[in-house]
Amino acid sequence: MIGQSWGRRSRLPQKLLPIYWRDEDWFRDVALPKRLPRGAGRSYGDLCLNTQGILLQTQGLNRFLHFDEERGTITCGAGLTIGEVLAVTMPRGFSFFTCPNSIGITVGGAVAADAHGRNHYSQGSFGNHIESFELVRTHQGSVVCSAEENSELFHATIGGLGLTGVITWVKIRLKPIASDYVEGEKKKVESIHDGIRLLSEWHEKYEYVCLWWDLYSKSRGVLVGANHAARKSVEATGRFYSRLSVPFDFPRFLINRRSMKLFNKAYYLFKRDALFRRPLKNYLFTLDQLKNWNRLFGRHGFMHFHFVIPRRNENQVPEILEQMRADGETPALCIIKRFGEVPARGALSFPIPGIMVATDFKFCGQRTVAAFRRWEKSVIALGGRLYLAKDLVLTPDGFKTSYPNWNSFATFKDPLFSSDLWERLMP
Amino acid sequence: MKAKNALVFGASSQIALELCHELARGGTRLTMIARSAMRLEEIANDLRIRYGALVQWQPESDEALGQGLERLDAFDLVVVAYGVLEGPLATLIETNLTKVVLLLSQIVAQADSERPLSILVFSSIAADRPKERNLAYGAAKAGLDFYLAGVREQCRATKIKIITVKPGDTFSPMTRGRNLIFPSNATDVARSLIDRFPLSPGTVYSPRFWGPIMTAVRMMPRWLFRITERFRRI
Repeated sequence: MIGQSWGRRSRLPQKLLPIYWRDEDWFRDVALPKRLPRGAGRSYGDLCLNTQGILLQTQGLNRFLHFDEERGTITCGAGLTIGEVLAVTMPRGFSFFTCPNSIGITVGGAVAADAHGRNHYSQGSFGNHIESFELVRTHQGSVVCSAEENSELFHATIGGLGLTGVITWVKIRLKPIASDYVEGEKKKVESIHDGIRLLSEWHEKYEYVCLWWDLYSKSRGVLVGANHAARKSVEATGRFYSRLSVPFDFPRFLINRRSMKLFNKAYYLFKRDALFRRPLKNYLFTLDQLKNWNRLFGRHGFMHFHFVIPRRNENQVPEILEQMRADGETPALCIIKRFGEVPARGALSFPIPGIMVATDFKFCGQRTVAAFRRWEKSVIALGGRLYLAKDLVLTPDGFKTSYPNWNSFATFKDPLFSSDLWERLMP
Repeated sequence: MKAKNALVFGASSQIALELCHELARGGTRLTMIARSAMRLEEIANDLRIRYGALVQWQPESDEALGQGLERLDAFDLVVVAYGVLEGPLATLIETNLTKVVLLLSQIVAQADSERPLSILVFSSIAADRPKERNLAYGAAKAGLDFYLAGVREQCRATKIKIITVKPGDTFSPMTRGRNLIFPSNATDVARSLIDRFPLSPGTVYSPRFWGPIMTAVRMMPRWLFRITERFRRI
């Protein structure tokens, strides 16, 4: 079976074997080839691929085990998607403390990538709100991990790229919300310096803040900030999953520098400084309004450049953006967020305090890869790091420099687990 | 007519499980019977959390079966979803055929012929035409089809409706690691069934597109069928 990652760069065949029940025995078998748990396959790079071995698909572990409405915790199977969980919890007044920006990813995947959202500044990442989970390792069997129990394994598994074992269920603290709507503000900004300064200022008044930036110009950005609405909404939020879908791979030429330039320009021109009120799902999960949007990039897919620059060097971010702008690649959307001081729990967690930038680039052959390599060098030279869940180009040296905890992580990695990403970073 | 009270045998099998989801969503009270108590408990919790469903369960035993049969009058839908695809020949015949036939004979004998009762029994498209792979499985299911057709005739004057369900290739623990043709999700199979409620006695393919395909496969001359077998991966 062909299993691809969301960026659809790899076309190598993958062997997918689904897990449906956590008491199944076959996936604990030592004799199986090297394995990797895989959720919805929504990571962009090669994190969710394992060409040499097998993929243990966890989407069959999609059952809620316990929902404690008094304490605000939910215990759910690792294969449930963020959208499926929210569909159950939001009508009862709960959301995640950290909503990753896609409803399609699984809970287990969010733990393994230590996913973050637009409110990292105040709430940290997904791993910061986990109470415990069960991990199935090849030699130890089932291990329940929490901050108190098996805490080293707990910290290694958060952001652990799925390499420490199969996560079967996760217990998460939920955030009580009064309404499933958000209220906020949009504002155009005309320089990147202003934008980055305002990101911090807005975080004082808004919980979810991000800056959309036009990588084709030097002076177009839209800052969006929002809080949960305080009063109960009367409007129905409607279905979680959009009906709009990209039915097939679009021809590759549709996304080119000219069309994307026009798109970004139009996006900027149609935005007005305004206040808004809209459903949380439309605000946080913007891209999910169009199912299979990755098909827009055509059959060769796209690459994602997602990095963070630490606070001490964040005045250099405009220079990196300028480098990306001047390099002649084809960016589609560029999003900038600020990461706060909440320390990440995982050994390989991505967030560090500073400025985070995420951009999709159309894949245009080796040229794109070479450009990514150049930018990667600049990012790492500034003490920054790339997000492993979206990466395709990071070199072993770059990995070891930017993730200094790699060594302590490697001791907790299950020896029978592997992934294409790991093979590349630790050959 | 929507089912109010359903009794599900083999509830932890993937398609039956999804059917339970669809029924619970629609407000049906469920009584589930299957081998593993741990799995049943997990399903029941899930259904309660998602839909606030009224769910009971019991691990499979003669006692549980006896109780189910005693209360048969309370149900208006019975689902029988026993099946294994791999294993020794004796197990294949036992689980797919003998066990189901014995169960059905008891149900039909117990059921009140004046009360409406739909009995959904899961067969397979593999029963429609023998092929090298799944031969024993197909044969057992074909035997079941034959039996069901007979019972259906037997019950034609009563309000008991016997429905043979033939799902196509479906992603499930049963088909893990196999090459599947036009595979569907168990959810789609269950939805396609629920959409067609109330079902009239007879055979239904699920999802629907398998109906015309299997008609063609059944009517195909043998030489042509052999050629198609050669090109198929399954």
